[in-house]
Amino acid sequence: MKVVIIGGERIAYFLAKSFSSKGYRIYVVNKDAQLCEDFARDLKAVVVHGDASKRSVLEQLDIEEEDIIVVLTNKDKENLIITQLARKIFGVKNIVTLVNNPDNIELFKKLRITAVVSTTTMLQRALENLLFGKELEEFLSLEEGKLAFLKIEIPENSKVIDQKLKDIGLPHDCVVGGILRKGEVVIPHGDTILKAGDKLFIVAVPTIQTEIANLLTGE
Amino acid sequence: MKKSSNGNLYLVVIGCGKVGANVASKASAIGHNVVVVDKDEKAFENLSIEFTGFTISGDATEKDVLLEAKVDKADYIFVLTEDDNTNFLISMACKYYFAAKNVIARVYEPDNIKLFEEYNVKAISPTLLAIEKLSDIVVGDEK
Repeated sequence: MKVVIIGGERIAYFLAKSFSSKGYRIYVVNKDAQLCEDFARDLKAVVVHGDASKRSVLEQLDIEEEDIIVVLTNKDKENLIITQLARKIFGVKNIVTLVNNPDNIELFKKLRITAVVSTTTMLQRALENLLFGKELEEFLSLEEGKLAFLKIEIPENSKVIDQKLKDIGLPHDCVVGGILRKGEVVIPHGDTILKAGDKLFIVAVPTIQTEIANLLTGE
Repeated sequence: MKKSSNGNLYLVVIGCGKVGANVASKASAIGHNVVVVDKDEKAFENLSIEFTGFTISGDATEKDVLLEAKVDKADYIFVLTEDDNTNFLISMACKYYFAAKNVIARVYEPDNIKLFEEYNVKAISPTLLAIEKLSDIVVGDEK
């Protein structure tokens, strides 16, 4: 069993370095000739210079079904054809790929890629947490982000305090499923009066997250 | 080409180069409904004056653009950009996001044909067509 790392620059280098130090057989494939020279000098790996979206290049790698393939180019179209050549033509079962456009995540999953990693989505999450601070937390996202579960804490100075839930003007595309108040669970209805420090658990479509956060935390 | 009940087909042509523009113009001239998609707006200059369909300038590897072109409603989708990898991504998105039935793609690299066919995309390879034609001549000369 070997690990084949295709494309990528620094990520490819550090992945190869870490796995070769653990004793795995590493193959690295890259289109960039200079990068290949550097890899050949600095890594304990078989380095192949070429375009892995070409079947002739993949054929040079003696790929076996139990190999692990990691695809890291910065173009989804290249990652897609490489993963599918590996799967359909070479019968590889374990394929991990980077996806740049979050819209493509579902496509790669439907085409049976073992693990799909989207740096865009990861950065998006990290940024959203920064933007909304600790009041809003997206703790679960379902169906490729079509549905979000949010936790929002009502701050001391919020304008919704002492108002009924039905009167605060929540947008239609969300439901408050539960409120955590001083450690006790309250299942809310329209007449429930909001208090400072309430933690609201909300099911919503992701596009209205900001609107909900502004409404509940605004002064 | 199979025709729907009223005789007119809805065709989406992706890539408006020489081949794409020609096919789109012809289809439009005989009364089919045609939408052409290309990244480069200038590419639409390749269309003939008989073309009365719609044009969308956008990158068809993006889902939103395919949605705008209504590929889910298309009787046929022709995927004709100059790059096999792009054509593969677009074809897969049409099939798996929009359940498109008739996707026909241009595939330059004969090595890639099998992959497209594995996913029920009809592959047309200009390389193979040229080889076949030329081989006919070569073989013909030997007789």
